[in-house]
Amino acid sequence: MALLDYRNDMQRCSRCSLCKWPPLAQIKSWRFSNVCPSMVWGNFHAYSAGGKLIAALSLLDGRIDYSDKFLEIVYQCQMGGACDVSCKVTRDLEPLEVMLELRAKCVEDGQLLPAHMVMIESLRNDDNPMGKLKAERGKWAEGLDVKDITREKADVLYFAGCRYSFDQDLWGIARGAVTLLKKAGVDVGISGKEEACCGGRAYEMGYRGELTKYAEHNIETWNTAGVRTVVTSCSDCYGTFKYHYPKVGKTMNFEVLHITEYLDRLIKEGKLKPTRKVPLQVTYHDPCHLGRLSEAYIPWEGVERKVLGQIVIQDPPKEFRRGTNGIYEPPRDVLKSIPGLELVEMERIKEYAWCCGAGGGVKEAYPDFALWTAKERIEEAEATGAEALVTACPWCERNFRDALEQDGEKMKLYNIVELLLEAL
Amino acid sequence: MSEKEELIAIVGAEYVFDDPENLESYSRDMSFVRAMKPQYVVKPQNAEDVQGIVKWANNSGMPLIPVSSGPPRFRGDTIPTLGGAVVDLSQMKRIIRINRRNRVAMVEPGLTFGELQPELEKEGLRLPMPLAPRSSKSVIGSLLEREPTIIPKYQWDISDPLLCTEVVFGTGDLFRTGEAAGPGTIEDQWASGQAQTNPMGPFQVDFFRLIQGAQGTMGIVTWASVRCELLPQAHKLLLVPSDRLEGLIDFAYRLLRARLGDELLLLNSFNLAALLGEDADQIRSLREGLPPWILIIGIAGYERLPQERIEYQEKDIMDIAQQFGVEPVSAVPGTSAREVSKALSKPSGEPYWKLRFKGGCHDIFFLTTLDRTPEFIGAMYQMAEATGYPSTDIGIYLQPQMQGRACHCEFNLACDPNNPKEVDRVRTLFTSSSENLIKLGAFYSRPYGPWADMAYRRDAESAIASRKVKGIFDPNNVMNPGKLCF
Amino acid sequence: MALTRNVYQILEDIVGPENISEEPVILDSYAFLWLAETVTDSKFFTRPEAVVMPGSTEEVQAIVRACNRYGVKYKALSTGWGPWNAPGDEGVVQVDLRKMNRILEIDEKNMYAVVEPYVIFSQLQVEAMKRGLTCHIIGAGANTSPLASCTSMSGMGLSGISMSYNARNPLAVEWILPTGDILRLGSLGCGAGWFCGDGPGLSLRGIMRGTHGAMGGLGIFTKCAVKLYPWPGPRQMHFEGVSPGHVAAIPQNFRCYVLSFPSWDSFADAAYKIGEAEIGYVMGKQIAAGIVPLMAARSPTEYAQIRESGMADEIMQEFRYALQLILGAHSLREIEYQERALQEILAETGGWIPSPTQDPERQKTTFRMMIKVDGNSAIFRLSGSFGTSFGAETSCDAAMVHARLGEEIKKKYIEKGVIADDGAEWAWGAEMNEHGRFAHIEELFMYDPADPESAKGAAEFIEETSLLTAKQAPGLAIWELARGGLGPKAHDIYGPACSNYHVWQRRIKKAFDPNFSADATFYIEPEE
Repeated sequence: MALLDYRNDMQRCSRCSLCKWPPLAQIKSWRFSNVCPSMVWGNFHAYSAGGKLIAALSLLDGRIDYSDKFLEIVYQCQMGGACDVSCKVTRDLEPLEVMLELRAKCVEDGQLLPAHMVMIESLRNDDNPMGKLKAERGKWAEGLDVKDITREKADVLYFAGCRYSFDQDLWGIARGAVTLLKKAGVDVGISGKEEACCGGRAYEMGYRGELTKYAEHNIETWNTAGVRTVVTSCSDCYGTFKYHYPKVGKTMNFEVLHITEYLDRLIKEGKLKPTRKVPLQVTYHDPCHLGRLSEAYIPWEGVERKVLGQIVIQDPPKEFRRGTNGIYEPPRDVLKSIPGLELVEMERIKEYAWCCGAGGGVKEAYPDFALWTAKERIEEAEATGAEALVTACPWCERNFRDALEQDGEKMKLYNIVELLLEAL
Repeated sequence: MSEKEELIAIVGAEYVFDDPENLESYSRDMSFVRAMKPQYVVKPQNAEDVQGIVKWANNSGMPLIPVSSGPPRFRGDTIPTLGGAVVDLSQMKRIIRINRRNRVAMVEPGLTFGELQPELEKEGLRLPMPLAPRSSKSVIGSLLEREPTIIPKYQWDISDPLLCTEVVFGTGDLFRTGEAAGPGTIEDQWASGQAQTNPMGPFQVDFFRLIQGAQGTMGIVTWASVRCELLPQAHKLLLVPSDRLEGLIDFAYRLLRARLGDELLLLNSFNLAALLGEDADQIRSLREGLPPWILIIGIAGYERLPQERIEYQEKDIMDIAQQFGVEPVSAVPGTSAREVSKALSKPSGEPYWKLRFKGGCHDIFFLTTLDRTPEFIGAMYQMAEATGYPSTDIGIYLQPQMQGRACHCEFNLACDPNNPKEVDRVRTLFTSSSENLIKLGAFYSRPYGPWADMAYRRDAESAIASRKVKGIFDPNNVMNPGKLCF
Repeated sequence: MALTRNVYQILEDIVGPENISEEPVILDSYAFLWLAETVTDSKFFTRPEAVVMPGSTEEVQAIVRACNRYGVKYKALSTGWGPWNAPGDEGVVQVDLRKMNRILEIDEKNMYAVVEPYVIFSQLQVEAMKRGLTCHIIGAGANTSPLASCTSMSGMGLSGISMSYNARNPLAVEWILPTGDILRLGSLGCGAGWFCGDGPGLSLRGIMRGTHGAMGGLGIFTKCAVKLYPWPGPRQMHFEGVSPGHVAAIPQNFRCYVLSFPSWDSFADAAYKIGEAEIGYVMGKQIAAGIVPLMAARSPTEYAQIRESGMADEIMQEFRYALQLILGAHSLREIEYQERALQEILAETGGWIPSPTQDPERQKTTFRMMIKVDGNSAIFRLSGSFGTSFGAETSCDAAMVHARLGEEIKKKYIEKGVIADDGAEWAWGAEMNEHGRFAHIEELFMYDPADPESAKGAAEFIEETSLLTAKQAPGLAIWELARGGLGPKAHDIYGPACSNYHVWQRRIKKAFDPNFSADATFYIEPEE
């Protein structure tokens, strides 16, 4: 699909602004009633998902041309997809797809952000968007007694992802994840420095070719390696594997699991037994890519037809991703399995969770906006009375850490893996 | 032609008066507003007459003072400020239509509550009334003045129960407000099932709101549709006595929130005594026996399951009363719910209840919220004390309005009009306390007499905007000049 | 006609550079509006010259004064949904009130809240519910502004039966007049508080609005006290499930029904009786017969299959004269009373509760949609857009006349294929405001905004129905619909049929906006 294929969606937007709010029934207070960081930061309607549909239509119709403001509107957005969920409570439109296509068109037309170009350059040179050397990729696992999948066979591949591989502050989480899997007796291996980016971030920034390249490479590598399961602790990677990889059309002979799904499974199978008390009241942040954006790709190729006069149907019927089938319960179940730990919920959760602020190339291009978004979430977490904010994604964690450090906030921050380790 | 001849040409000789006795009777009322004789009193018979009179006034420059209720009058709003012709609408008394299905009646301005209610009853309807209005009180007069009714539940908006009107503006143009405006004649509208139940508009202006509360300064209403309620098939009244007003206020709020009860008002012992007593002695003795405060709650059963409605409401009210430590009863020392019910269900007998104690009465009333009323009452007592007016003689009436969102707070100062010393003392109290109360946050939404100046001085922008409205609908300022900010 | 640099600079000085824009990409997001294609042949109205975003009353006042001084028109919007938000012509500055979004006060005892323009109903409702109160939410949905509804728009919604109509729900209001002066309506004017919007003396609320508001044509409203109404449900509603299927349990003191009737006559009889019995908490005719099959379908495609197979015919007939009703009571005794009353009414009118709606899970969804008013934009789902036409705020019997007329006209357009075949029935409303004192009705239809032929058909349908109400007398039309259908000439068509109100309204516009600064497009042009 290309941007032009969504022209009808753009025309059928009613400018109702539902994309700015959580599904209305789920609004619980005035304070935490927004769902779109881009809109709250930018304020003008153009920053909303609906506004971006309008911008796209206007561009297609030649009413407007690219400008710095246009690019800011397009790129100052984490692509977290909460707008998409809210829209689809009542509509069969694809605002997030339009936003992705719009970015792709910008890239195609050479309308690029310098900060993103740096990331892509790094990706092209070192298979990661973080400006790090490929040779350093496996360092996070040094000293871990874990198989190297490039040399020996394992049932399960643990995929660290770029953020865990290169963000030294977070190495402990990736190491902890592997430790947990091993404790449960899982035959697990890693790719070490041979691991390559998932390509998801590039895709979200509009660089389509990069995704295809990495998807093809990774699928082929893992098929060849004969792994049965790919497990990742990175929600971004997870969402990419589940939603974007199937688009390249290559058979994936392996199951993809997020670490929280796998841990939940292992606990329920009795292979991991959290017995030590962790007396802590926590609240859980649903990462966008583990929640609403992790819904599996549903292939559809068809046409739009009119019946009964003006009723628009998709032939064959199209199933829409509405955020219903994200990974919401497994991380919660893992937390609930920890003795002494109490989980309290924030107001915006699951498919309508507020974004951490790091995604979509925002942390790199608009760091202030990214941190503001995180602080908004931290305030929401604090409002629950919980002592700690827990998440399951390195991007969220990095951004929350930076925000907490900047403001000298006292709220503790954990990854689910850390808490489970403590409980064993 | 002389002015008088012109008037006679419009309404006929039998409806134009300029004899001294007649002019004198319209020159003063029970208020402190300065007396002034009109030049004429004219009694139109229909809208055409009214339109003719207004056009005549525009040509002759003669002020018009519309009057719809009979005497005794109390507010000074019908006393000519600059002379002119009183337009007495008391002969326009037709009930144009009563429509049971839409619970609405259409009446002319001269019709009184006492005349309308029996006709409504025949159709199974009633009109919510102010607190025992005097028998000469015009229904439309009361509604145009936004007088509170005693059933706050049915007052959704402050303008209720007034609906559509036919009005002759100060320009002489005839206009229909609300959905009555059109399209079509009123008969066409009836034919399509309309019943002039929507007071708003037409379209983007609420014309009726510009007439309501205007004290006759915008035009003259020649008919209005009014929102009626079902006639109770059964009715129960509860009295809730208390030494402390605050306890009753909290209880009243809870009932309003739960939409329990129909009639709902608070009186102090003096006012309940005044309402029930036949003369000063009886009032005095009743006052001594009655509890200081009484919350009155009426529960109606209508056509559908009347007893059951009363039963569930009474039980719910009793449950809530228990939580608030108050006790709804059917009798208090000195009176019973039955007697009170009788007094509330019809216009006042003669003499008007406010006059029975001393022959005269000056009311101070304003809008506030129910929770703030104790402050105003405290202040009023202090001011009375300062002027030597016995606080036990102050009648107090608190009427929640708009389902409890605002409260009409009324102090009744009985006064012997034949005792100049007392009149002076009450005048002093009236003036000083009016000024003090507005400083405390009283809102004179219906600013009669000296209140107009007080209210508009504090709200210059409303005065400016109101004058713009006046310039549109009565550019020659013929309609009751000198009132409000005009 | 771009703004002069001088004017732009003045506006920028008022709001700060981050709160003003004349970037085309931003301006187009204000020119693009629902229904535009029925008027302009595209999705866009005229672009504003600039968008300014004030953050306070003082800034709004300064903007309005600057516009007066420099001969620039302005048009304010809050949530900005619908064609009436667009500038009517070139040379207009759009005042986006989004930053003024606070709930300033909730007076729990006296049942009102003071809100700024960009508070939405959902926000107000949840905060009010924490105090046992709620607000009347308009049929458009809870994503719209209570302030705009109370001051500037119309105000119909299904909770009208127990919570009135929003033209009747404002108390005191802070209003920047077209000239920039601040008028504080009612009790606020003399500093007494927010509890009353009328007086002293005549009520200037009458100038502010009628059945419908001035839609930006008479200045800008910056604060409004909005009536709240009792909410006998839980202080916080907990919705289970994941999007799009959030449901909440129906509390013990509530009931949720769909009621069907054999004809419009019995429908009206029941509506009157329910109103008289004072038992409705939320009531109206929301689900059209044509929408009912969607309950059994997961997509428009499945919906179409069910319709085309004929399987839906029976159920559509069953729901043709159906209304939704929520009973809500303050005690269990009261709910028992209400149920008894309802049973009697059904027996007297031949009404019944269709079996598909007796499913408790369905009831939960209906309950959510009627209390939270969060599902109404689903009306856009089947064809991409919908339009609405004629109708009135009038007695229920007259509303039924509208419903019948609507069916007849709609059939023609369905036969032409320019609007969706919804069974030629979608009389929406019948809300029986204030326990039955006046009803609301409008005729909805579905069209495709991406299809020029359909958009053209929609425009013709709206025009034909608008003219019909001016010529016949089934009740005064809904202004935004009549204006939408007839364009700027609407007042001159309706005026002579309605006491020449347009003459007076023009005088009001001239007196209150001598420089014609407030965009008059959806109010009234000062000259014929």
